[in-house]
Amino acid sequence: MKLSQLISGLILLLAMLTGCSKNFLEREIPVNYSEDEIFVSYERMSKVGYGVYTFLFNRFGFHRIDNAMLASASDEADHADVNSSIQRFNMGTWNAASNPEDCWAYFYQGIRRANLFLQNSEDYKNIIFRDTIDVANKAKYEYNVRDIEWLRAEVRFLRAFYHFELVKRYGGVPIMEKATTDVAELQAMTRKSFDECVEYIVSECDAVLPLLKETWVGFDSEKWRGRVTRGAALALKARLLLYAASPLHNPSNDVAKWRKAAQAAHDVIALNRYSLHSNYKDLFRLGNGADGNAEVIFAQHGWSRNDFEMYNYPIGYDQGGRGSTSPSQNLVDAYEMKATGQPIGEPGSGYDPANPYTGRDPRLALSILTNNTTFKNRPVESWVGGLDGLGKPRATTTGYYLRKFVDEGLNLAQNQSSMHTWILFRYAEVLLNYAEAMNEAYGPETTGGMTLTAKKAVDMVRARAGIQMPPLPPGLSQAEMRERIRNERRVELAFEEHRFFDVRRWKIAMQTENKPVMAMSITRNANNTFSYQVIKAEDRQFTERMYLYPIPEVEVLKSNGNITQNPGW
Amino acid sequence: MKVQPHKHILPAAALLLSLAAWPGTAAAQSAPAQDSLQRLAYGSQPKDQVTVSAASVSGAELRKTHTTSLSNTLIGRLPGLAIMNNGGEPGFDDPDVFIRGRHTTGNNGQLVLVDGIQINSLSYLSVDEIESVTVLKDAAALALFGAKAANGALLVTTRRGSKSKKVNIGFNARYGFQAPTVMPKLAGSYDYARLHNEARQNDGLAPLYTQQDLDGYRAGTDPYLYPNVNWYDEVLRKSSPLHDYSLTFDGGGETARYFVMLGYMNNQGLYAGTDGKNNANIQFQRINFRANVDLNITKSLTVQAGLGGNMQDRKFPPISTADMWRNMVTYAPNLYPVRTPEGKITGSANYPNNPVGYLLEKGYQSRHDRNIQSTVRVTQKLDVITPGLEIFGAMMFDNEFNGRYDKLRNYAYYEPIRTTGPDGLPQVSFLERGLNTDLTVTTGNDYENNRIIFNGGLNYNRRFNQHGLAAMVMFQRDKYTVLNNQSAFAMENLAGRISYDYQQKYLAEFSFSYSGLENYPPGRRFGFFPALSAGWLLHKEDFLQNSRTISYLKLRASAGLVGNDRGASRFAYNQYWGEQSSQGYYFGTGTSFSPAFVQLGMANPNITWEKGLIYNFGADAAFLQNKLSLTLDVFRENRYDILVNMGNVIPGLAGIPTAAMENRGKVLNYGTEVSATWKDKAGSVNYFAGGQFSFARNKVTEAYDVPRKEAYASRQNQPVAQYFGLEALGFFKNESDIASSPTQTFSNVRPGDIKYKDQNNDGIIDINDEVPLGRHSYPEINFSFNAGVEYKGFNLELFFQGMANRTIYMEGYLFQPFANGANITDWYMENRWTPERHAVATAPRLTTEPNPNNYRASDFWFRSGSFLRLRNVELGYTFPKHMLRKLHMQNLRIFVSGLNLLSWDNLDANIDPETLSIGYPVLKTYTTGLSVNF
Repeated sequence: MKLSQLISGLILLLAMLTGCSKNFLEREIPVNYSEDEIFVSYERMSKVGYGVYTFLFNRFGFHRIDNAMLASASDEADHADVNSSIQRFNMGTWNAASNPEDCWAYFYQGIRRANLFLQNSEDYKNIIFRDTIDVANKAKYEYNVRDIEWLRAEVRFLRAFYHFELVKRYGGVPIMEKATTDVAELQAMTRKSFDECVEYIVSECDAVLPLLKETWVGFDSEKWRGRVTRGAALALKARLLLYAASPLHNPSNDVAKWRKAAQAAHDVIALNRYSLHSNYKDLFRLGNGADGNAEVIFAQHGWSRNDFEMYNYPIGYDQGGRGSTSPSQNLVDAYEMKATGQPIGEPGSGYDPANPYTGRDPRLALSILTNNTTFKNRPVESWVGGLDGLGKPRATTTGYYLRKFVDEGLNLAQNQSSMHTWILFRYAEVLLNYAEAMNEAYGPETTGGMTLTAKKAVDMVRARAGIQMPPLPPGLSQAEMRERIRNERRVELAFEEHRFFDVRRWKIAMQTENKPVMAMSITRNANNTFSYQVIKAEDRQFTERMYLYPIPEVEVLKSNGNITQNPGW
Repeated sequence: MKVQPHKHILPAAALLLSLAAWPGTAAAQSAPAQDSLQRLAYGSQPKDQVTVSAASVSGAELRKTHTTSLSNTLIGRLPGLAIMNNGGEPGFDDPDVFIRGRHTTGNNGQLVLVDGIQINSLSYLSVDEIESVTVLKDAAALALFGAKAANGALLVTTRRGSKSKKVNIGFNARYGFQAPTVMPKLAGSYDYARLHNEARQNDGLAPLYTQQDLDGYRAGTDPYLYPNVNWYDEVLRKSSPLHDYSLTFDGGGETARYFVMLGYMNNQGLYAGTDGKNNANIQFQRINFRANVDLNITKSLTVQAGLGGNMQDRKFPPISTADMWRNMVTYAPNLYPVRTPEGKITGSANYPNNPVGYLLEKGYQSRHDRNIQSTVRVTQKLDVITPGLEIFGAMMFDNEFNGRYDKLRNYAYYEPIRTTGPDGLPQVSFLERGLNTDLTVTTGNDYENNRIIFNGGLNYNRRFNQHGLAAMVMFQRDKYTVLNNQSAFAMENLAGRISYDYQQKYLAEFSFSYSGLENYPPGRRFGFFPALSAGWLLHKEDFLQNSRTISYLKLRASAGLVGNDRGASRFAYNQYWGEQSSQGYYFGTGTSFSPAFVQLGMANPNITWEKGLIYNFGADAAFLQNKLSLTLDVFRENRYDILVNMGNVIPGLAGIPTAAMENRGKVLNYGTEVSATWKDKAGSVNYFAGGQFSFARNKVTEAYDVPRKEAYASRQNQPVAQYFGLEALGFFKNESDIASSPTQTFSNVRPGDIKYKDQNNDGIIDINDEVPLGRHSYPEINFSFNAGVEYKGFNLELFFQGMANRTIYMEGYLFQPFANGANITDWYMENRWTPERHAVATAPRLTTEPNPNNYRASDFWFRSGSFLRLRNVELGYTFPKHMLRKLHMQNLRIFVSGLNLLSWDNLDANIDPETLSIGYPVLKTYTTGLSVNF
């Protein structure tokens, strides 16, 4: 009995001891890598670089602000869903504590990612060498080294681009050239002046220019299309310098700034790589330059989707139809008459208020769905009481629907989708940047030592195949030309996230953005004709301080005041 | 379970080592009755010797509340335990459970153990397998769990057999009907349209409905042109059944004792018209089983084995319950008729999910859970080495699996299109949208987890004249694996308890855990958690020994350190890189995505668990020959090393998407619990009355909040989750009132909108004017009282429970008429602001626009969340024994009971104080039942 007690006790004890293996608490997450396992090979290192591209999504493109386009925060459009946060821009109820399009943290995240990549891949040659050690891999080694060289230049470009996106909204911002988590150091950082930021971005564009690839077309089975090219760096520089020369940032109207901007735009033109696409509709519906689209300089590569159509098909279409982006009458009125090339308000333009959409600049019909236009095999019924008409819950608030970017061919009930690419830089913008800068620097019809006059550049845009608007009349004054260029930008680049910033940099937002957004109220008459009446859709509010975004209040507080707030906020 | 011969048991037992949730053998030796034992962490003690803060409730007591989930039977039954009801959706009615309020700004979840096995929720046990549920509250009670238990622990003990001459067979049946405690009253189409016009007028917009429309709605004669749908009436039925049955067997002799239980429970939801094949009501079926066996293999070797588990089958419509209940309110009564004249389901582009259509035409989803737990525990006395010594080992296993089976389809729906007919009168036609598809089956999304626990140790229990010594030391390993999760959760725990008494009058105890967790950096994985407690049985002292008033009096005190490891992400000490959803880019000409490697959440190489330093003082007393018994506890806890998000202080310039969590926060939590019972008889009437009161208040002493512009907005020195908001001053009377008031920046205001106080006098009302208001959604005070009488076999018992010192925030679709088309409640209708009703209105003007000014946190929407509920009332009759003898019954009892029958609160709106009538409602239940023993 005693023995059995001892034996079973001993067995229990032994079993306990043998159960004690040593590494019971050693567990790990095998799908993730620790920090020292990342910058060890070409493959892993380059994947870090791709992460910097990710920030081209979300703050550019289709219905990105609470399902609204940025256009709906400008006089281009109204957003039909009153609950979207975009409406706060229009009601003027946004501030440092809440901004529907706050980008501060977002772009600094992109910048940190760029810095992490640049800092850790500095020794890329040795890293790749160690990873591809034998002679047989020489070709692979060379390819990889060259590719990382390009990628490093691209990431530097993206870092500069993200800084630009901050600068264009907030004015001068702190420049982050390294990744750090040191709270004291971060709290001590202050904002650079606008000009210092411009200088930094320009110098980065210049520095990476020779390191970037000229084009990715025709290279390595086209698998790298969409990466940054020299054209992108030059186009960013051109846009940046145009912003820097504009009244908001150039109150003394220093002509030297306009000249620099003109030169920078000319540098893109002088590449002779880009040209205008022959179909203004397809241009926005093409994939990632898959057709050799020579107008696109840099784009956010698209993917297959139909959410944009779900938001923007007119309300009466099956399964679709939330008619979100309602183009404004204000914008519609900006389209000139095709035959005369005159604005509709000008005497003799040929505009007929009883047939307001007849004889207009062809870009109107390609950008905006007007009443009675055939769309998906039936006429759009934007008339009051029509299937898509004004007054139906959540229908258009302006009598118009969006057509630009929209893929008309999708059957949403069957969940069909197609690729949607958002163009970030295209050649037409460069021409208009050039025209604007030339007009300010040298006047409407002077070459200033370059190849094109301002007028010629605008006329090129107007003369696009399929559009063929008459050239601007000769002999316009600088001020007249300025108005025509601004209008051309408004029309050509509608809904492309330019107008919102253009009215700010031109310092005309106090006028344009305080005007009510107008709508077209259409009545169908008994004989199936229509009568048109322009009505107010919505009042808008813009105050002086809104020329620049407020720095998020919490960031001012976190910095103990080292980050200063913009005026008026 | 078969009894194995001795020889086979030993090797088997050696392999199957494990836990110690069990009554130590010390207790078994003196063999006191079950109810004089207090269940504790890894063991139990005679109640006299307990020096920690713990409270238990028996399964029999819990049985009185008829609900699907065990957690909800605990409401009001244990001092210090607060349960927040989440509504009575069958199979998804798990409430939020808190012990002693909030301890931390992090995760306040507690440890839940069934017979020593940690489980995720105790909701799905059957009440008929429960011996008791114990709440452990102070450090001395919790120290043995180390870093797992600072928020308290719940121990569930299942029933076991006792010696009996015959097999005891028990049968229980209950059948109940459930209905919502309260349903909001919604407007019909006429009121809706009329008020919608008023709202548009308020917004400066033209009315939407013509007089002809209004007349049509009022007449209500054309349901297609002028629909008037109350979605509650269309979707819901009046009541839903809940029934459950259990069969138990127990008995045994000197060498073997057993308890076996088989239970079945079925609960249906409130949806009407479902057939269970092409669509489904919410329904929940559960089968529970448990078999516990105790074997005396030899005089010194015992084996305790247990096997238990459940099967849960759920069916539900393919729409989330929250969405379903929201749609019933946000789909306006005049939106469309439920069906077309041909009986087809309606819908529209903006409101495609016709609640009836979604319920009946869309198919169903289902989930099938299987859960099994087993324990084997071997105890060998080692009196041969020294008397009072024994060695034990146990092995425990828990497995949970669930799979899904969904049958889904799309259906065509018909949107009413109103046009003007040739006669100039409005007419309606129906436009087909969408496509009909066949039901398709989806399976997968399986989930599985496994827990394996091994433990073993020594017990020692012996008296040396005046000195009593009891000690337990054990080692435990616990490994928890979740299917498809990258790595297991693991804990090693060396824990023990040493108790000493002098003359069984003065008690002292030291308990500890030295334990390690896999989630912390090497070298920092282990922590030591000690606790000391002492007790003094005063009634044994000479000066009280002959007292007539005081029959029993024990004072006790404890102090100790416990940890809380909840809330930390896994292996946060390691700086990881990896792929992350949607991080990467598309290159080339196609749509193939190149994923990127990104730096994941920032690491904290020094991360550790939260620590709670808990002090507790308590007294247990009985007066007047034990007629009145009383327990009192007072506690204070300093919680520190709480994880705070460093993103609150790191500037956005850093560009860090997910900042590190660091151990910097602090919370002070203090409070008290009192419970008292009076039990007596008057003639042949037995009666009792009792009550419980718990209070817990906390304060964040180190918040690490984001910087705030105004000092009053600081979260420092406020309770956890304190409500902040604007102070409402009433409504704007007219435009000149608006013009002369500070500018409100949330949206453009009109008369009838809420006017707020400018706290910082800067002339602008913005978020910097938000101040702490009211309290928080959880209660500081929980209380309950019950009373019962028993007379000649009849018994009547009333049980009340309530909460106080809590704030509810009326937000969401029930309180925002016309937002997203939502209907309007009677409360809003009657109290809305109009220029004429300026002085008496208690709800803002109606609007059809989003109104961020009105619909934001302010004391306008805060209400006291205090309430008192008649939780339970039960009337039963126990048949006299002599009547039953002929029927071969030992006991027969029949009863009726009611749950949540009455409620008192301070709310002006017609809503339930626990859920605000958002989502599935709180239910009242009428039950009849019987209980037989053979």
